[in-house]
Amino acid sequence: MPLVAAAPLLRFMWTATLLLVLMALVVVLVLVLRRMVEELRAERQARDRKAVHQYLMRAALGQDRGPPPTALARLDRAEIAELVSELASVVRGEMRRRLAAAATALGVLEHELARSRSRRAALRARSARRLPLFATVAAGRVGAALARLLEDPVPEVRVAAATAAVEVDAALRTRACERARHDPAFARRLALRFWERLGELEPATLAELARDDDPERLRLILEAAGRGRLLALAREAVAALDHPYLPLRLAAVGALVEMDHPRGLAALEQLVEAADPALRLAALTLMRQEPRPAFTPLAVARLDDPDPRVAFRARELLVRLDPERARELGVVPREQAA
Amino acid sequence: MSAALLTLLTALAQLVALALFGLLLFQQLFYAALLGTALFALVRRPPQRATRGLWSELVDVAPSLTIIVPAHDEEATIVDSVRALLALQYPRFEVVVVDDGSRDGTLARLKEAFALEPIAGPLPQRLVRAPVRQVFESRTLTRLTVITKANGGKSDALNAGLELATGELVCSVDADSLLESDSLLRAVEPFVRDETTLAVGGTVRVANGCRVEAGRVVRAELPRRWLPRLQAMEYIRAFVMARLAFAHFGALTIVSGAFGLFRRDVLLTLGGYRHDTVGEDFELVVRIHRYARERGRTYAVHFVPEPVCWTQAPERWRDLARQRIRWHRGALETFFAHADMLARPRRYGAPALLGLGTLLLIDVVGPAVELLGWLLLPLFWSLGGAWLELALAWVALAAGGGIALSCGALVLEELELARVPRARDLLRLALAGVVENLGYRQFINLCRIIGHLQWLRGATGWGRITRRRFDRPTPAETPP
Repeated sequence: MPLVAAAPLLRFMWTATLLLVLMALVVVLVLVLRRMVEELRAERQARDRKAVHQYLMRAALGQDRGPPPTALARLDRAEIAELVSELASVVRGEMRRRLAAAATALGVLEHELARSRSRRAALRARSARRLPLFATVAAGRVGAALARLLEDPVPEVRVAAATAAVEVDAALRTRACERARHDPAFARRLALRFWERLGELEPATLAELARDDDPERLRLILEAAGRGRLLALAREAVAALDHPYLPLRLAAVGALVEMDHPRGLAALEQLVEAADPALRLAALTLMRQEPRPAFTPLAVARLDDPDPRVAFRARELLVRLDPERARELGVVPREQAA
Repeated sequence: MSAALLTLLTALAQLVALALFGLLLFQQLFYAALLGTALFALVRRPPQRATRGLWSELVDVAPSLTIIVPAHDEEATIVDSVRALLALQYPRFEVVVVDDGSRDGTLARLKEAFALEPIAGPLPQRLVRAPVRQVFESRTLTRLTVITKANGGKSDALNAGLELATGELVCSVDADSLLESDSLLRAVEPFVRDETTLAVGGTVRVANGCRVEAGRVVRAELPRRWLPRLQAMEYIRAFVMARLAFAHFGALTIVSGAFGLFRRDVLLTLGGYRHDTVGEDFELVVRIHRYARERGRTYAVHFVPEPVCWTQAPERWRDLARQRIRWHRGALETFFAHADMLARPRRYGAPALLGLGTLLLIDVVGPAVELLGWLLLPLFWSLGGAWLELALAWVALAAGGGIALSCGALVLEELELARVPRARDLLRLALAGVVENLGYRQFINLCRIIGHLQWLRGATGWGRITRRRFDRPTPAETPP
């Protein structure tokens, strides 16, 4: 009989399962106890974090910090590094340099350098973002680490390293630009901040890189130029207006509009009158992102567009731009407006 | 009856019983494998970042996003929900609320709260079936659009929102769900890091018992009532264990309708949500897999455990039954609409084999097997001998295995996410993990079988589930 033959196995299975349940419950109980201990320690941990935060703040302000608080010994390096990173995002100039010196004395630089060699890409990228803080106190080591991270196999790490390298010094910036010129990772949206920072610091270099053949890279560069209102790139944006790749053309129009360049509005007018409804819709969507009074006539011109999507967007834009005019033109139903 | 025939029949009965047991064993081993995979995936992911750090990393590169909120008779919560959504931490987003033929004052509340201005003229409705009545723009908030339309169901409402969405991504959120303030930032990360990402799902948790102020969970608490608490444990197991594991294998076929992010262009290419199913969220994700694989496109559907969306779980057995019957019907509708994918595993890969295969074995066959096993248990027990061993093994594996899996999921949750508010809540959840296997799970299986029967009869419709305002505790939840 098959069941008789399976009986020993069945017995083993139910006893083993019961043991497993018991073990699982014990593990949960251990976790409950662990959590109870953590809850008891949480208050002290919060106090420790506050004490270290104050110590770092005093260091950044150049005030007498006194002896390091005992809390420093109780917090691990990762937590101190997190606090330093939080402060680094709000301090500038001399305060930043003093914060870097204090953090280096606490071993945070060593911690970040060790993390830059982590097996986890996300940790390497995070380290790359934090390393520029320490460039004033350990330029050589920071530069070497960033140069190594620029060659990292993971695109996200390379982009983070290049974005950080731009902040550090001219030599590293040149190296980052060389990388960005050929690396396809820099044609991804992830690299937008890199292009933005480069445009702020070296608009001429950005303009030179904008003479690139890769339409995706150029699109990002123009978006960055638009955000930064970098008129130095207006010529490249104007040239891109005739590019066959539609997203690049739209980015060029967007950039010129953001730069307040006269060709921007003219290009929008052209798009709004295009035969292809997808282009007209794209133009109206672009205007909707950052509505300006100058767009009102363009919206009015498309109120009766044969494509209902375009007409709707035009009406919607007009309601946002000029509600009074919208009422006059019957875009808001009369009874509702009354 | 001859002795030989009796022996043959007994042997046959034993073989059938062993086959049922084998299926249960397979199911539990499969879940254990999912638990192991989820542990692996959680351990490998980088440590969580504070919101501020995440914001500074993503603020420039985060794609624009449209949140679509279908609402039907939500006058009690809609204004708070929309205000909370508008206050989310995300650089570029808009909210489109779709009033899907509400019979209460949903639209009136919205008009009053947000100074809505109607837009005249014909409205685009390529994807929508029930007529769109009016679109409103807010005079005070440029990021809010409200659509009012005849009732056409959730899919139709989502499609109406999709039609007017302008963001690169769209996020579907139920009107009665509450998002944590940084949930969009966390959920959008995979789209930024991996440009092949087409959809992302986040964790959904039970909000019953939580303290909610102005549409936001200000203090997470466990539900005081047992029924939602059992669901809280069930949600942890489903999201922390199963979805994470499926996503790890590239086989995630469900992104919850309560909170999911999608590429808008892909949704438009696919023609939006389907109208002929009550499992529109599940069906859409399967269709996304299908679309990408048929075009040989490199793509990913991710699951991120950190972004949390809080939802109200049914507090009455009747409501729970309605919800689960509907979910099961939706799953079956999706499965049979795409069953051909299973026949071509080379082409459709992990989503077909793991996603739809699991659905077949665990959701279609599983409930019947498990319920049949429990029904036959007294008979096995009374027969004694080897049958008794089978009965004991059945109870141990079905109930004990379930308890072990729940504990395992809780361990994962505590070690890697630690979102259970307090130590005592962890203990309560563990207790719920035990209780859940002694009645609740069997009830859910029964609902699935009813769902199956309803699907066979061709039933449609959502059924009504009673919900209440978040910030109004029920008597059982009022602190003494």
